[in-house]
Amino acid sequence: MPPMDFPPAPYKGQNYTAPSGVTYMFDGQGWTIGFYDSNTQQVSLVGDIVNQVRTLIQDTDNLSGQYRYSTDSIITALNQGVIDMFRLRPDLFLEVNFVVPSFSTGYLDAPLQVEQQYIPPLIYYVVGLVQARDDEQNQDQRAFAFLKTFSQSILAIG
Amino acid sequence: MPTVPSPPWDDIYKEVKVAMPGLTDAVFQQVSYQVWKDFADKTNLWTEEVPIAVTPNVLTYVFTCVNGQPNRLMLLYDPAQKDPDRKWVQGNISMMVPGTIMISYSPSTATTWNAVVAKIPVVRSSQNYPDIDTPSNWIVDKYRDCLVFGIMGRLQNLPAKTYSNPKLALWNRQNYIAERSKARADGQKANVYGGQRWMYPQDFATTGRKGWA
Repeated sequence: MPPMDFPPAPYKGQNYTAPSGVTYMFDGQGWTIGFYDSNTQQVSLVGDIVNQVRTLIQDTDNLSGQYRYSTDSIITALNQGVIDMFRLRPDLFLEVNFVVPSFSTGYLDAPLQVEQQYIPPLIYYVVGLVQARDDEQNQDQRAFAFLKTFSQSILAIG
Repeated sequence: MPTVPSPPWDDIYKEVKVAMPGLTDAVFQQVSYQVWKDFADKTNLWTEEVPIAVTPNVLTYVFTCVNGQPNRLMLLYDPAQKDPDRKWVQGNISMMVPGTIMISYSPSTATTWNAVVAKIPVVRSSQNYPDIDTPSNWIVDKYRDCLVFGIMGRLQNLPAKTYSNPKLALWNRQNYIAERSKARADGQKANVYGGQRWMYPQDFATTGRKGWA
């Protein structure tokens, strides 16, 4: 694998994807890991899920230097989501020999290892779970609705 | 990413996939393997003719099939015999362990007999579907509806899935068993219409003995 080669004079907000696949963003002080810039409108990678979740919870503005919900907390919710998915539908992990994947902020380019048609329920789950946090802007009903949609969509039609 | 398999499984995949919302490829592959194994076991349609080199003083012969594994010894005959009807070369031949033929007495000279063996699948292809040999694809094509019934019945019987449906599972299962019985009868009659029409009188039968029921 070739060595990392960061741009010499970066501007704030500039992205750099290392040969390992990890994407970095220059925040004005240094290169920070964990930013994922999806320009593909896809929902197939971990970073795509994080982006879509941020869109649904109105958390796309990081001008202050950070998001309202850290990437770490979203990935944790995603990891909890795949565990819950395995509990309800173990057959969805047959293809990976029932090894439930675990994701991390350092590998936002990682594939989800869940068949495409079950990615939307995961997004519903993560949105529901991050909004279940006891914050003043959160709405319990909305969080509950997303979590319920998750279980409905993997257990029943519609 | 869902992937349509190669023939002969492609049409079955399409038929089942459109009827089963939320079905993953991995589960379809697993269930299609189970159904094909059951179908091959119950119908004896998937066969192979294996030459067995017999020699004096040897009673046990181990053999393997090109695809699949031996499940049932249908016949062991001597191709050198002039009789057009293939007959058992001797009595009391067995295959207690699939793949190992035991004869009751050895031939006086070395020769080659042919074993007709009904098979069941043993491995999956590179695409994870039952590894069927191309000349036998006709079985899957001819009994496509039967296999679709069987696969759907098993899938709908699984609990807590988006496609769970015990009522339809029962209906599909019944259809599968009926079609499987027809396939078995077809095989026994070598797909000849009207072949061996005579059967024992059924008036006093306590159980059905018709080949197709």
